[in-house]
Amino acid sequence: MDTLPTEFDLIVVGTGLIESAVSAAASRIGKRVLHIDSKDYYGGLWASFNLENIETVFSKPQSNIHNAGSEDVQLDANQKKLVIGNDLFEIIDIEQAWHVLEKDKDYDSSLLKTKDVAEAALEVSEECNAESVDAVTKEVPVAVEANAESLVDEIQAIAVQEAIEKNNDVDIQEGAVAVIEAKENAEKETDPVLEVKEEFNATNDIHVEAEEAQIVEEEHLNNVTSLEVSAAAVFKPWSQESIMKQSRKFNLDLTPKVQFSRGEFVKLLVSSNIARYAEYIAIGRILTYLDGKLIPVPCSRSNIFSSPHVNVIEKRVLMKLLSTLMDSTDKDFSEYDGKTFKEYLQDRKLSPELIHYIVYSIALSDDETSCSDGVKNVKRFLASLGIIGQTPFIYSMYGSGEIPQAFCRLSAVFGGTYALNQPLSHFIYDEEHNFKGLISGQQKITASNLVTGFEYAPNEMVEKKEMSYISRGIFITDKSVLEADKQKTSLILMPSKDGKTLCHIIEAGHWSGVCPKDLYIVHMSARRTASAKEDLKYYVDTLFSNDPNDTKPNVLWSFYFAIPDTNDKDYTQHNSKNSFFCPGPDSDLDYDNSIQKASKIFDEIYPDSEFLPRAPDPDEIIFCDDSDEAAEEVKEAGAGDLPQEIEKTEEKQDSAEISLN
Amino acid sequence: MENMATRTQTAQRPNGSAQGKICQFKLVLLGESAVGKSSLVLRFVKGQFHEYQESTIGAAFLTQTVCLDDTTVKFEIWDTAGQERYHSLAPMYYRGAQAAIVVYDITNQDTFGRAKTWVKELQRQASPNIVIALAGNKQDLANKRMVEFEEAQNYADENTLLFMETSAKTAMNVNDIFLAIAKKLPRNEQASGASASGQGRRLAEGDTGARAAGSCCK
Repeated sequence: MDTLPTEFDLIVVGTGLIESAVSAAASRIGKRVLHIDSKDYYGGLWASFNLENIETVFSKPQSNIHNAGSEDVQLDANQKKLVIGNDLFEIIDIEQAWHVLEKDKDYDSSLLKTKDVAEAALEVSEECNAESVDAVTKEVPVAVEANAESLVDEIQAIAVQEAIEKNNDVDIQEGAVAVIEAKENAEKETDPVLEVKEEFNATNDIHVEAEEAQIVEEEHLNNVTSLEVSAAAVFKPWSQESIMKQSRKFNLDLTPKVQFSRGEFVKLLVSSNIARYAEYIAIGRILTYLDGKLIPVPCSRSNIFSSPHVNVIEKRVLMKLLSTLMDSTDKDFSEYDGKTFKEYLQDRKLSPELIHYIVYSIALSDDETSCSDGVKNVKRFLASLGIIGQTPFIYSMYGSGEIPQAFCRLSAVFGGTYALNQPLSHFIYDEEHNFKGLISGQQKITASNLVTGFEYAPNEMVEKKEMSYISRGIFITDKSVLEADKQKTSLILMPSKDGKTLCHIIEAGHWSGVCPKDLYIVHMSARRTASAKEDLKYYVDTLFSNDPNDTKPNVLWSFYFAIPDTNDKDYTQHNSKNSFFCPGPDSDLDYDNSIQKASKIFDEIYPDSEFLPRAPDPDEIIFCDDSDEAAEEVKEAGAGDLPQEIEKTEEKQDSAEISLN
Repeated sequence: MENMATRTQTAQRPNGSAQGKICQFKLVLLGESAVGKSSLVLRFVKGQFHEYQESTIGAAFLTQTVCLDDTTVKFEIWDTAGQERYHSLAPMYYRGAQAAIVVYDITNQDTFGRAKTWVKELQRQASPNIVIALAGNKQDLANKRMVEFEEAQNYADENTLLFMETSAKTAMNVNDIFLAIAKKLPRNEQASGASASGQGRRLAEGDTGARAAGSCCK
């Protein structure tokens, strides 16, 4: 491979969204940019991965720091080296699990003929589990085998398989009996493993005292549930093998985001011509959880009028309120200073259902959101309504990981040098804390400014304080949380039980390029309070089921983790005027705040230049292929304008807007 | 108020049969640095050739149209913008591509090896129906040839690739290779690669806020 040039105006380390936007903006105004990443993929914490890769991405050491050769790099007398990367930034709570059997052959199609078989087996397995519950000791050891669950699956699968082979030609009734026997045998055989598993599920590292028997009881119930999963798995067509075979069809976001179709971010993408590099799909519906049911939130005018969930009077009230909010100015709400948006709505004498829709879904708020923020959010929501589809939101096709790549491409088009998978070891600073360059392998590369993702900040420049995290869950499921007449990517805004926080949930299917056909991807994001798995448990339990006969989706694969949120506080501490640290992903639904941060960093480095001005379109092109008899002159305008684009036929109500009168 | 104006692309003949449909395809160029990827595009799109072409051109996103029977095939051509140089080409680049031209330099055996790697990568990562063409560029320098025509032809045959030796300098086979690709691309509504990118839409400036950029024919 070629060695890198050694002199730049700006070095950008890490290909996260903010870093990539600064890189694009600097290249765009003619700066010589080196955009470098120690990872071999684009996007850093904003990347999307296929199924195979996401399993390994966190198991590798997170910092890819290479020292080899760096000793040979000669520094000036007043310069010092700081090791790249810090101890503060760490991804935690990582827990990946399969909830289906390992191999295709573990299933037998003859078992799929009747639901009775599945039900019979399930009943038996519940009985078995109820008995085994008693065997659990109350003292729970800390060390557990994390793969206990898959072992149980495996042993049971083998036993079932054996039973099936023995009874190949018998009728279904007998088949069911065989399965039941097999399950019983399997559970006897796996007793020790089961115990470990139950202990594992019961608690992570707490010693359960006698007075906490109640909790133990509850945990046992959970165990029964999780065992039902493995019982049910025997009758599901999906196996780990069949899902992994399609690993490349998955694009699993570390940081799933939607975009307001007329938000600041999208406006910038369009005006800077970056939008041409990405494809979008509309978020087809917003769902909320109310009175034990998932309900589509009426948000567009046509939604409101067609919704069976709001009565005629409520429809009018809702329309009127939204119009009032849209036309309002700040001083209209002066008496609500220090009060919540929910209080404002309650004072309007709205029904609890309407308040629920407005607070959690339209205002994207929780019970504690201030009135002024709530109103601001409603306005933002309405401003993007009626542009694309039924909701104000769009989602990046092939996953959110495409977005940083689009910025990187613009940077490259304008001369940015791109080098992934680089052996980064040190930043070089002089005595006055000025960034001078970095060491990559045996190369010293210099630049006037440094922009880097926070995860690369050296320990010397990081302030150790308590870190906040975002709890994340990614789930592969077998059906939609709410079946619809046509393919709809869903945004589910679900308040916590106490209404104090809002969990952002995105469900996408194969049409959005994030998973194979017949499967769904569900992303959950919430503020971390306990651990990723615990924080999301309520939502998982509410939306999903372990029963294959339930209308709710079954989870086939789950992946939990928590990533640091470096947005609310400044975790850096340094006097370097030419070093800029980009925070990682925030907990927002969209990118508007992140792009503002990129713009701010750019303004600090290049105060006299515009952030991502419009990129020029290629010249008008006239071409005619005269070798073809049907040739005719086709006049083409610039590619960026795409003037002859074929419009997708839109349903009429797709472009409906809330009337402001 | 937004107005999703729908443009009709299909002209109606008096007898009612449709003609003049437009198919749009994303075509990506792949290959080692300096094999002439940008030069091929510039020759095809603008009929120009620059001996000392800078490694990056500002417009790495060009369109060109060819006419085939009653169909106008519009190529949306993506150039690598130099991201391949340090092996850092973004996967987004060949996402949803319905066609690819993998370019090597016939005077440089290494670039042919690299081309084979790209073909493998496309077969692994790109949409399964992608039409891949192999272009042995710099045919005008045939006296310095290091890759035999037969060797490349055999490789192309084994992998069912279109193959031509081209010269961006003399324009030899440049239009031909694009035309050959156009002929091989599905031009009916069902098979026009809609599965690859037909679901998505592009955003563009204008009153509507967004316009669809489906690849399917209408």
